[in-house]
Amino acid sequence: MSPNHDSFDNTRFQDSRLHAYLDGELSADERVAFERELEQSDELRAALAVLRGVDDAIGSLPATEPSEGFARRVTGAAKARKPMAVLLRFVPLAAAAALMFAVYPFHGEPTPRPDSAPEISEYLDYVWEDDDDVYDGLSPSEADVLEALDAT
Amino acid sequence: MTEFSDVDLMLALQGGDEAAFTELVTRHMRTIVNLTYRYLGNAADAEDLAQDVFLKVYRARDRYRPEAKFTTWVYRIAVNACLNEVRNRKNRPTFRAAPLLGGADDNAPAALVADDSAGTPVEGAANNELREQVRAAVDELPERQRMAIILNKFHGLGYEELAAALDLTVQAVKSLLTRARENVRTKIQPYLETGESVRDQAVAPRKGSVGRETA
Repeated sequence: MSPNHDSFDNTRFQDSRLHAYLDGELSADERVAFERELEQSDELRAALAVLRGVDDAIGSLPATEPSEGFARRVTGAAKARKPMAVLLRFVPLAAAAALMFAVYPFHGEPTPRPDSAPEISEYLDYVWEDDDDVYDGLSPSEADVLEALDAT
Repeated sequence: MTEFSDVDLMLALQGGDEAAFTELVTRHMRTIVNLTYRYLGNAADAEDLAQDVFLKVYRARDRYRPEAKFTTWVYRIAVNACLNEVRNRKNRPTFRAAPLLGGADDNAPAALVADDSAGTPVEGAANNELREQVRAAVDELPERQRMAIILNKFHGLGYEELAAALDLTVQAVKSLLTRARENVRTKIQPYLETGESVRDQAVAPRKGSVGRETA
């Protein structure tokens, strides 16, 4: 049976078990139960074949290779940044010390200060906002996702 | 250095071992360049962005904690970089959507991996036609769907890993992937009439075409 026929139930494609099965995300019990159902349903098998074809098609798109010398360029760029990065690390440290000294007498207890080196680094990143944007936008809300889904 | 794990190398980098960074870049450059390439569609831009990703890794090295899987951490940085890049491009007045996933006008300095599935010229043409349709369908997906399907289909990330990389719940990831696959399917279904795999479709002549092709 061709899944292109008008009579084919397109809602079959939205069966989340089909997608989870293809993605290898069903538990062992779920997989056995689903395969039993597959054996008895032409429509389900047809839908599975189509979705597998979609996966194969996407997977057939070409890959690329980094150009020669890519790793060397990256490590060179990282090293080139280093003097400025070191300098920038001292600026917030000095500024933080000055600010705490200035604020403490007028505003009661300052924010508790960490003791260990990694904690100090994190603390300063928090207070002074590090110059990089590694984590910018890393926490899209579920609302963003739902909005994106609605736009489809 | 190959005997060291990624975590070992990150800890060495935190301790000031620059060679550890070189090894990490060498290990993961193909993965990250391919991710940015598939997302941006232009190999030159992809390399620039991939370089940016590794520089962010370098700059954030002190924040890395060994409890976090290194690849998940890098994927998160790369995903963020890709989404930001596309957002920034859209805000530029001259923005024009790139032919994503490597279009025909892709001025690529990086080498495309040879396609070993094309077979004969006829089979190659069928494959190329289908690929163009798939490429267009993937390009048209909303950004997060596109990222989810790229990470899942090309990079093999499971639901849990995808959730970590995209900072979503597993349920949201399932929903994104289902929608993405469905959107691609509706665009390319005419090319998948028989439900055969792509390679089978390219190799097996369509009904009624055998006489013409073999005459």
